Amino acid sequence: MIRATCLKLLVAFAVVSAFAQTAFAQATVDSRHEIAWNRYYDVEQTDEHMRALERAYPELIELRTIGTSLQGRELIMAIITKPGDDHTQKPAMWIDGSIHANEVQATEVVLYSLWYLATYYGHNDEITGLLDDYAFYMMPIVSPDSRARWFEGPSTPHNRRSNQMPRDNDRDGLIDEDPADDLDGDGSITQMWKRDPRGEWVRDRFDDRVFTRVPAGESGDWTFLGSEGIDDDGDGQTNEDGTDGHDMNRNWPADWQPDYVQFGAGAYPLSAPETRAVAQFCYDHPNIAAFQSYHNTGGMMLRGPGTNYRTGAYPREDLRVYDEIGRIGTDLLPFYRYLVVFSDLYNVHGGEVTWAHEALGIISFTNELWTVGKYFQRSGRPTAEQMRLFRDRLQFGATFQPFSEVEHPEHGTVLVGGLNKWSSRSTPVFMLEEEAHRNFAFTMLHGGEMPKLRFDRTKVKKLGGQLWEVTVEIRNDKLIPTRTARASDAGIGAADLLTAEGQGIRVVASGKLDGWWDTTADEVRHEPARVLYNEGVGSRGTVVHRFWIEGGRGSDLQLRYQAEKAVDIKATLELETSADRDTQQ
Amino acid sequence: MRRSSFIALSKSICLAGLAATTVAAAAAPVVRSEAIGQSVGGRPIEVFTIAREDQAGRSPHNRPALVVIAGVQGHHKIGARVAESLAGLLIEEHAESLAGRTVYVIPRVNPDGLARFMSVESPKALSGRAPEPGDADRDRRIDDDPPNDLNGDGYITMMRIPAPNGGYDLEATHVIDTDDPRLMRGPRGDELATHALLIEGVDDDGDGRFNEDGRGGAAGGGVDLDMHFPTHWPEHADGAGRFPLARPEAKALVDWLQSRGNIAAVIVLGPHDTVTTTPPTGEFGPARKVPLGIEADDAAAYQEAAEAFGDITGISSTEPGPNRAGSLVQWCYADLGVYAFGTPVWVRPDLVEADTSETDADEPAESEGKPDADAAGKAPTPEQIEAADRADLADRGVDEMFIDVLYMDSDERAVLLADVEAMNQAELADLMQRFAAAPADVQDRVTAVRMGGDDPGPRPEVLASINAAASGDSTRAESSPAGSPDAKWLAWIDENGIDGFVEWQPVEHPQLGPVEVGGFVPGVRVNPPSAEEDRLNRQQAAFAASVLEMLPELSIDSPVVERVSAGLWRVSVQMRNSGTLPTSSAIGVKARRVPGVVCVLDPDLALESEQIVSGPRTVRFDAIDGRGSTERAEWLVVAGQGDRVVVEVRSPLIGATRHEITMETQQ
Repeated sequence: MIRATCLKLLVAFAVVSAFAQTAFAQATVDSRHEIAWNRYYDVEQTDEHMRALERAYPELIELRTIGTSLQGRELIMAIITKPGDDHTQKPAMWIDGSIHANEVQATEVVLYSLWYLATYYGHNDEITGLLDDYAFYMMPIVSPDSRARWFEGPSTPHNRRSNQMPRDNDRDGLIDEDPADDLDGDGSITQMWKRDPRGEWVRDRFDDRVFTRVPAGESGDWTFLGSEGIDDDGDGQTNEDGTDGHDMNRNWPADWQPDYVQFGAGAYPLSAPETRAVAQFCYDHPNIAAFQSYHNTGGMMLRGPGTNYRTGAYPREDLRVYDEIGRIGTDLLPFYRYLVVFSDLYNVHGGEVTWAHEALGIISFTNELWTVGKYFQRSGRPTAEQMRLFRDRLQFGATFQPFSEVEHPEHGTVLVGGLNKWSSRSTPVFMLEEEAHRNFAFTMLHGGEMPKLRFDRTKVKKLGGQLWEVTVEIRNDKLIPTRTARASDAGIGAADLLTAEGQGIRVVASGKLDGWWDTTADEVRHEPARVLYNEGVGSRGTVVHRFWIEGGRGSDLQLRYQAEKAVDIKATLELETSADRDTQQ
Repeated sequence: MRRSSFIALSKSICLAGLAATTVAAAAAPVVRSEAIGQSVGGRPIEVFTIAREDQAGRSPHNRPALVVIAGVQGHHKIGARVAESLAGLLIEEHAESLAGRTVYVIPRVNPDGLARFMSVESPKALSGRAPEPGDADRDRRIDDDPPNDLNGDGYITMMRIPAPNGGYDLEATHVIDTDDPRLMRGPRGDELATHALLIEGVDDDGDGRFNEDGRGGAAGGGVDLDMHFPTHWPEHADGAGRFPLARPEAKALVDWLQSRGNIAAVIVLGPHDTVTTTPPTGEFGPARKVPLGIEADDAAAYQEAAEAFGDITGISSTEPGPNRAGSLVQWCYADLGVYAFGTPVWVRPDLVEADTSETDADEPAESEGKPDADAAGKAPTPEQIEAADRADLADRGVDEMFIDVLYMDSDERAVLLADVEAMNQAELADLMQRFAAAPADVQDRVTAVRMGGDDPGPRPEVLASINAAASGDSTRAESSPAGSPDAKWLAWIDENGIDGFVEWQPVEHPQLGPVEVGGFVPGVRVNPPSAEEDRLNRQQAAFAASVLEMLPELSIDSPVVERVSAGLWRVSVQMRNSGTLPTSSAIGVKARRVPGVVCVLDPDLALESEQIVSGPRTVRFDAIDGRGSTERAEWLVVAGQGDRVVVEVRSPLIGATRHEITMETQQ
């Protein structure tokens, strides 16, 4: 009893001192807002968790509504960083999920990431450091209208990928007039079977949930009618014009192509209010230096390009950054593979992950959550029998809708049932927390490599009279450069800027050096005290610059290096021959 | 915002007045206006719909339509002028072309750019961009190196720099032409380049480059809306915008165009030409589907339009226009999926064939064509005076409303004044402020007409310049120019006594030392002298009418019932296109944006599925060819004698029509 009280006190103390200073390492920490990670959350529940996290951690989290969905739902995202910091002055990582609403666990992975950062800040040195150095912009639901429909309405693992923009898919002049129909009213769209003495299928004698095709030339008892529904518009086709047809992950202004090239592209780039809101936020925040979006399924860490003709937008220097993160990622994420969209998957025009790289010049991954290897924690696809074992013995049948007989207006009595919307693409709930954590860890591996600058070595040399030669070295300790090669090639964003000034001194000339030991500078002919570095500070690299300065002994020279995707750094050097500094330990 | 809405108001009053005067005639065309969006500067983007009242009450939006769009690039003010005159000219002179068809006119897609180019703001630079702050040289300073007016003439022209100063990394690329020292050209034969040629200006930001970040310079100064549409959008190019349709003007236009399925053709009045030179076929973007020019199957329609254009205007070719990547005209074609004709309106005068037969019998000959030797000594016509005066006032930045007031008839003026009476205080205050900002002579003129008096008339300078132009200036006619476009422009300027070239004059450049400043006046090669406007308005109205007459004309023959046997009937419906163009262009069929022609038997699902024994209930045709082509949908239906069934035909061109038919032997 006393012992328990002491424990409680200890925990309370830890919570109180959470952001006062870094506490000792703890295996687990009580969150000020606990969330169960063995279940899924619909739009309202997710938004409520976001608000509760903001209430519990007001010093860390700020929620923003960045727009309104097509059907009027708020587009909510969270900003999390060190208390009191201006997030716009720090490198930030954008993380979003559920742009494809049927890919449901993406939302929980983003929500988990926000929850984990808030909960462990001040308790874990790594997490504390991440929020001290960086900011994170997190948006768990990009497509709330369709997530709401997926949860509420009859759905399959595959529908509600689109947003809810009306579209005449069958081009008959009517809009969304023939959607799937939930004939048995069980909240799922499953499959329809009709008894047919010349059918090609038989039901398994021992497990009547299983239909098997008969050998060619033999007759079975059943005909497969397709997905649950009726021919609402009487045109002979069933379920051919529902609310789908706008794929928001084909709606981005990088190699956007019209619908007749890229199905689902939308009316024009950023025609969806949801994508436009996200894009506008990103364009308005040039401090975003890393990008992650979550999808399902297949167990992949994907990067661009989306087509073979965009390879030029991925220079070798950038690929080295991707490859290092991807290589470590395959260890953090068992059964996941690091792949390239166009060469390993299929062509994508106007995708979000490629937009972030090609339009914003940011290192950008899409993770495809969940993969068949995870069912039995071994590589390779499980057999049909193993899958039944998994569903029956591990999921206790929860992903199967029992067959029932329904009177169908066209087909008479039909059998309706089969695998439901939870059956294939979403992570089984008992494995959800692990999936969320490993992917969170992957994004922190990526986000933790956003640029971080410091002045490293400096050298002040007197050339005679009032003339001094000052050499400075700016070092980026991180993998991600302040400007990707894509950004500098395509002219995205502002160049980095190195300035030198001081009272009573004059910068008379300056030049760029290839490295600390380079002896011949490449002169900057104009504005020698205001030097633009379009290529930025490279991956774990340096910028070395030399100034020639007129000034009296003892004068102070103020140096400043600014980069859009790094915290600005400043240094003051005294014009003294003894002012050489080598800060390298 | 307030200013422009008032201009819009005054303009719609003019157009409404126009409609009122013609409403007496039966089925007279009516003009309606609607604001479809707003520019960044708060100016409305307006659509004028011109269509006859339909006895059957059919909406103008259920007729095949032509859209005429202008003012995408703000320096192309002739396009906006032509578009604004179009409604009146179509109604007055081409009324027959409006039968069963609709014309939408969007005269000013880029009102901010137009206002900026036409403003008195000095210096005047050649830029049609929608103004937007930017950092074109990415040095973290916004618009910090625009061109500069070194000789103080109010224009940004060029500067030629002899033996360029190496400190600025300038290279000699040009020589002064020996025949005409006003012309700069590349060296020929064993000549050595002697001059660098740059836009007039200094290196404001001290980075060693000239005019690289600001309006009218080499880069920067806003968004070129004709690079801002999604088709082949020039990603990351200067002027293309952050992303396609980021500007509200362009987005509003696209949203509206996509909402109108009845659009069959578009004419864009602007620098992109598709009529004197038919765009290439068989060339596509990187995804190999989106045409860079046009589809092969659309070439015939383009050639027909080109012939009509050539016959009307006499324009045989144009100078090469800008790249169509990201342009409105290419988007209208390759994305909206309709015939999209770019017409340059006005071209270098020597490219117009001498004798064009575009004279209308009832049109006074003096009002058209540029003045020639025969016209010498003749007094300018009232139309010439009005055109020159309007151009002069616009150049001086006079509010359009005041200009219009001067040239309204008394009825229109009464309507406008009544409207001013009805203004609230804020609007009135704004109006007074703008009146106070107008030049004194303009204030006097407006006051005079407001009091019911006569307009004292334009400034003497304007009258003098018209007289000078009318009398011609033959002193330079003999100076046979070299073959370059610059030389030809100069010859035309000389022949017509146009104030279009700033003579080179020495200037001491603060960074480069002695240079010379001069060159073509900004816009002189884009917009014609005001005396030309009336002629060009009529030409473009005639071209629009000829495109209107080519539009598809879809009609539905009454459905036919044929008794096959007792209780079995064959029902058919035939659609006919009596227009010249097919109901959809080849690109429209490919782009699949709109349904085509859809015939549905029994749309209310009153019959059992089993009763329709042959033919799918819904039959769709992508396109029906023109010139009387037909398509036919046919069904076999099991029904009783006297049963009724509905056939519905849906086409975005004409809307949906329902036909009830009875199962009985016809005739």
